[in-house]
Order: sequence, then structure tokens, then C-alpha cells
Amino acid sequence: MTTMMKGWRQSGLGLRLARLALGFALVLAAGALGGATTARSATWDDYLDYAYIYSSADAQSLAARIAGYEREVGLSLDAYVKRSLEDRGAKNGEDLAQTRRRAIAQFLQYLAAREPAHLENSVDTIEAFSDGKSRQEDRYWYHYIQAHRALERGSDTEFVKHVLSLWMDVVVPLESPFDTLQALSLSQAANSGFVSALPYVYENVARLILLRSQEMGMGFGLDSLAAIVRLLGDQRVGAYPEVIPVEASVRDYLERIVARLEGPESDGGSLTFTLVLFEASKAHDKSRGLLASEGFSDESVASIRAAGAAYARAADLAETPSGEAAVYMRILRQMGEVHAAKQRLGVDPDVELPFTIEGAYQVYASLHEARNGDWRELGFRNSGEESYLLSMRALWEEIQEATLNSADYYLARATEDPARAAELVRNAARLFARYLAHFERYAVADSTRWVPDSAYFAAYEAARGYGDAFIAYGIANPAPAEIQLAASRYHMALRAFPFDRMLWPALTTALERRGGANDFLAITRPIAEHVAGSRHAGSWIAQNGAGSKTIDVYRRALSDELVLMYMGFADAKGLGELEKSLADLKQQRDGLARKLTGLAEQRSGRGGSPPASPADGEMSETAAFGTSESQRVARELEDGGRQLAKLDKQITARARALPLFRAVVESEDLAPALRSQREHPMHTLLRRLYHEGSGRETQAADE
Amino acid sequence: MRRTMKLALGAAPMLLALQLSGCASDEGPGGTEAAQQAAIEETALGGEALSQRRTDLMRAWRDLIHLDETMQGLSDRNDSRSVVLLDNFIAEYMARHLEPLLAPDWQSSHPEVMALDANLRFMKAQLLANMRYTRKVQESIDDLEKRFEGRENMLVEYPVGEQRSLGEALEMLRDQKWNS
Repeated sequence: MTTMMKGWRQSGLGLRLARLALGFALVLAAGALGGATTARSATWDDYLDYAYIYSSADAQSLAARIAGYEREVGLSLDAYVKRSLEDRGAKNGEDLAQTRRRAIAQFLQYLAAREPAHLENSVDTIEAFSDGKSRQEDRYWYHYIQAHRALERGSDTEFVKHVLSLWMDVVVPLESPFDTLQALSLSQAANSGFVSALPYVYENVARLILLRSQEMGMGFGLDSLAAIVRLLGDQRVGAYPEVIPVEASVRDYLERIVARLEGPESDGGSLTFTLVLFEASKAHDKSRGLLASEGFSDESVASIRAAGAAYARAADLAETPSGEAAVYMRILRQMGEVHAAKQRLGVDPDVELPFTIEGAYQVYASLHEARNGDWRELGFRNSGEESYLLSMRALWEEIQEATLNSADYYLARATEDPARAAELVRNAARLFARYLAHFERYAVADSTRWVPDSAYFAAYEAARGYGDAFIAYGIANPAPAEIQLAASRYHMALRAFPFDRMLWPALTTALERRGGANDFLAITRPIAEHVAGSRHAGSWIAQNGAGSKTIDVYRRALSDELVLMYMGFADAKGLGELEKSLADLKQQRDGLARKLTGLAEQRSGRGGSPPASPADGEMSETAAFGTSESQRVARELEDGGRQLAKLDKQITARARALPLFRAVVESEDLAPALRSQREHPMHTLLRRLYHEGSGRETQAADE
Repeated sequence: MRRTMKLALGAAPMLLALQLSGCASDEGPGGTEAAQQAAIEETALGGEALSQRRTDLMRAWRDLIHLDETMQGLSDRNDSRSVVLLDNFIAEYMARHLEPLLAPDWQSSHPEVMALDANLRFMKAQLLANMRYTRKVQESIDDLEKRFEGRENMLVEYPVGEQRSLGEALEMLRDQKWNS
């Protein structure tokens, strides 16, 4: 150590520099440093001895900092390097500290300009410390510089070896002395040497593995460094806020990476996969922001494609269904976002993503097959069964959302492009059908752990979407089989979500299209009886669960067959007419009652003297029994009585049913809330309803 | 008691001086740890040195857990290239750092560190078992039996997260030797 350097450190300038340079963001004013060094002219040796503090800065910030130091020292870094070489030549050798400083200077030139030639010069210089017996400070720079060259060359093995060696040669031997210094409050003392650099070494190694490697495109071969990442995350990075403030540390990012390594989104603990997926997620976030602010601009489209390609790289790396599921969850979300944006913005740019929903279905099938314990082999050994189940449910939800968004997009395009409507609608129908097949295969009564509750409402949406595709979107000449399938999909939709009033007449329409409107009651009565008699629905209403009011209205309404007929055949707009028909019926009944009273009086002779000649259509007010007139009156009384009874029955029924139907028409539509909230509590009720007595329903449908 | 404290107070600066001179020497890391070890052997029964030893044992134990976790992940993925890289690292870590840390006899019987010492030895054996070094595992078992003879009822943490008697843990370790 030079005399000047000793003086600088002892005067506390070094410590002050260290504190001022904290944080790698390098937001510190150059002026402040200038002020700190005006008491004594600073030299490059001073700054280079503390380069571990600022060497992890990004290129631009580092270049600015070096320029500031050059002004303070009055010598460019390049000139410093040249001068030190001249000095070495003149003296036929140099102090090892000087050799290290030159290597650091050349390395800083590389970091600031990203010019590989500087790195090669630095590597040549630092080779002086390759023998493994050097001081920790020299070994640190040796491995740190060599690791950068490995990144520059794309050599993952060399990179990993140098990082592991750095840990072994530098970190391990420094930790205990650093603890001792800390215990004596000397860890940042002026003459504590390179031991005090340990927090920066942690930080730099973390940044080298997590950030610099990705910046340099090292998307392979890093998995053994997961050990170092875990060690860094265990009370090392961010553990010395008095040296490196937490907000300036990479701790948060490190913790997220460690959590991912060990969580449900891990690919069996692969660090490479975790880093690549994280980078892809960042690219996705960027593209999402651009899509929101600029729509499908050229930059947005390029960004979406870049994110898709990044996800494809992650998918290529994934070796376990756990990792594959993690990728698919994200790419499906991106697909859904793109389709939703196309639909919302009414444009259709060519944004092909290198994935299909089918791949996600296959991953789900793989996960499902391992439910009896083999899931540990699918990448969940460390994260555990709950992670495995969480992963399955999350993947399912992304599948359903991507399916529904994509199908909606096709249906929207079909309305805008009649020439291609048939093709586009059938694309949508295929997506719906695929989801429904998936649903019917896996959403069984005991599937609560791996099928999310929201799957049932999604099944309703898909089933209704399928029916609408062929019935409501008006494809020209749908095949009879398609109409038949549409009707059965509507039936399934009613089973999954019977609280959609418009679904009941939709089923009627489908049945009419296949000539089977008369089947409506036979098909829907089991569903209506199921809802009306549901123990789960009753309990839900008793507990005043979400949507209870509407559920109660439907429950009471569906217990009445006439309301069921109204549901299938009446239009809400015609509710007034229905109510008017009831009034007409009452009027008709009153007229008939009056007529029958008159006939009865006539027959019993209480009507007074008959007219000489009764007018046409008027009855004779008295009738002699046994005459044809008397027989006619008796017959009319008999017929009228039967008709009156029938009218009374109709009036009673309609007077009971119409208010129930009106209540249904006026009840709150539950679908929007369920559509937008996957965690809506009513999803749980829908699941219970679907499976409650499902055996009975299936039997009835078969019959 | 007063004597121990005086010893401890005296030991800390001496240790620090040794550590720092080790850091600054040209003897390399191996020399530094040997020097630390020698100092600890002489002065380790109280105060700062004992506290530091506890910290070192605890840190080494946690580090082995992380190394084991990573090694298992690499093995599960059949990533032989990464396994080799980490295997070399662990071998060197054990030789240069762990063996010197576990070498002193006193810490296996010192009431304040013997449980940590035993936990670390079990963790080391577990890692070796997972790496299928059965001979080394047997050596570790033999060493544990010898060091803790007559103290089989002492509680140790093995496997990680579970407390059981040392004797029972040794039985489990014997099974692990072949079943990993």
C-alpha cells in the first residue's frame, strides 16, 4: 500500500468515498466527491483500490463517474494505464498492487465502453494473480475479471468455475474475519483492508450472476450457481445496511429469484430457467405497457414478439412439467391480452406467438397424471404438494381465460367480416369445445384440489359460447350435428350456471332449429328441480351468501313449471302482454260467471215472466223442464261450469307464476361479477351445485 | 470465570490480528484458515472466540443445507455437467473450510457448541450421502460414534427441521447411506 493511500484511508477519505459511492445507482454528485478530495489531491490509485464499490454500475453511469474522476485527478484513465506501463518498463518491474490497479483500470475501461479489447488487456494483466496463492483482494479481481471474459465469450462453464472459485478463494476466508471486525465495530475502519469489502463482494457477485449474465445473454449452463444464489440470499446480500443501503442493494431481486427457485414456478431448481423466465416476464411487462399506451404500434408488436421469443427460450429450457406450467401460465396470459386488445381496438395485426393452448392442455394432463404422489418427480420436490396443486389450478385458470378471450376475439371478427364468418365462428367453437372436453374430463366431483372453482363458470361461458356460435351468430347452413351439439351445449351451460335468464330461451331456439321445441320441458325440468331442491343453494341463501337474492328468486321460480315455460318461451319484453292476458282472462272469467248465473236463474224459474219472443242469442229466462230449451240450458250450464273451472285454474296459475317470472326478469345479473372475479365466492356454490345429485341428473337426461 | 473472561478478552484482538494478517499475507487462503484454527485451538473456550465459533458453525450448517438443496435439484434434473461443477466445489469447500472447522475435539464436548457441532457433522454426512460418497459417509458415522460415545440421547437436528436423539439420527443416517 502506498504512503499516499495509507494517508487517504486513515484520513477517512476512503471511508467517505465508500459511503458516498454506495448504491451502484451512482446518483451521487460528482461535486460531493470533488469536495471530499480537495483537501488532498486524489490519485487514480485511490479510486482503483475502491473500485469494488462502483464497478457494478451500468455502463453509462460508470462512464460518467470515470469522467468525473479523470477531471479530479487531472489524468485520463487511458493515460494512467499507459503511464503505469511506462513506469514498469523503466523500472523493470512493479509492485503487485500496481499490477492489480492497472488490471482494474483496464477492466473499468471495458465496463464503461463495453469494448472487448480493454477486457482482453485486463485479463492479460490480471494473469499475474493466476497461481491461487495471491491475496484475497487479488484473487477477487482475478476471478471477477475472468468471469466477465467468460460472459463475453459465451462460455458458461468458465463463468461458473470463476464464480465458484471466487466464492472459495475470497468469500469463504473473509467471512469469519469480517464477523470479528464487526463484533469489534471495526468492519469499516480505515485500516481494515479488503475484509471490509465483503458486503460489496456479496453484492457484486449477486449482480454478476443475476444481472450481468443475463445482460450478456448467458441463458444456459448456470444451474450450479443456484447454490451461490441461495448462499447470497441467506443473511448476506442486504444484510449490511450500514454499508450498502437496502434500497441500493439487489436484495429484493435476489429474494424474488430465490423464492422462484424454490416455489411452484421453479423448473426443479434450475437457476438458468428462473433467470430466463424472469427476463421474459420483464419483456412481457414492457410489451404490456406499450400495448396499453400505444396500441399495436410497430414498437409494441416488436416488443410482443420479443417477449414471445423470450418465453419460447424459457420453454426450451424447461425440463419438468413444473417449469413448463410456469411458462405456459405467462404465455397464455400474453395470448389472452393480445386477443383482448385486438378485439378492443378493432384491429388485427399479424402477431403470431410461438405457442398454442394445446401445449398447455398437455402440460396439465402430465401434472394430473402425477397426482398420486409422482408429482415430486415433476419438479416439485422442494416446493411441495401445495405448490404442485397451486400450479395446476393456476394453469387451469390461464387456460380458461386464454380460451375464452381467444374465442371471443374470433366471434367479434366474425361479426365484422361476414365473408369469413363461418370459418371464424367455427374457430371459436373449436376453442370452446376443447375447453369443455378438458372440463368434462377433469372436473369431477373430487377434483377440488386441482380444478379451480372458477372452472365451472368458465364451462358455462364456453358451453354458451359454443351454442351461440351456431345459433345466435347465424352461420349460414350449420350442419344438423352442429345444431344438435349447440342444443346440448346450452343444456350443459344451464347445468353449470342456471342463473342466466337468457340461456333458457336460447335453448328453446336451438331445440326449435332441430324441430324439437317440445322437448324443452323434458330437458329443463331436471335442472329446474335440481336448483329448486338444492340443499347447497338453500344453505347459501340461509347464510346470505353472495348473490343470495337472485339465487332465491330463481329457486322459487324454477319450482313452478309454468315459470319454467315462461323462461323458455316468453320474452321479457312481452311481460306486459302476459300480464294483460291475465287481466283479459279475469275479464273473460267474470263474463262467463255472469252468464252462468243467468242460466242458472233461468232454469230455476226465478227470472220472472218470459218475453213474448226472446231475441236471437238471448236465452229464455224460464224453461220448462223436459223441453229442448231446458236441455240446452242444462248443457250450457255444464259446459260453462267446466270452462269456468279451467279459467279459474289458469288464473290461479298465472297469478302465481307471473310475479315469479317478473322477479326473475328483474333480478340482478350475476354473470358480470363472476366473469371478472375468479375469486368470487359464488364460484364455490356453482361447483357444489354442479356436482350435487349429478348422478340423478345424468340419469334423467339419459332417459 | 474471571480467568475465562480475561482469556476471551485477550483472545479477540489476537484472533483479529491473525485473521487480518492472514488476509494480507501472500500465503493464500489455506494458510489463513490454518492460522485462525491454531489461534482458536489455543483460546477458544470463552468470550468472542466462542461466539465467533458458534457463528461459523451455524453459517457452515446453513451453507451445507443450501448446497445439498442445489445438488438434489441438479441430480433430479440429471444435469451431470452442473453436478460435476458443484461436486468439485463442495469437495474443495469441505477440504479447505469444513474439515478445519470440524477438526477441534473440544467443540464436540463444549456445552455451548456441541449441538451445533453435531448438527453440522450430520448435515455434512447427509450431503455426502446424497452425493453417494458412501465411504465418506461411513467415515462420518464412525467419527460421530466416536466423538459422541455415551451421549446418544443428546438432541440433534436431523433431518433438517426435525429434532431427535443422536442415536436415532445415527440409525437414520446409516439407512441414508445406501438409500439416497
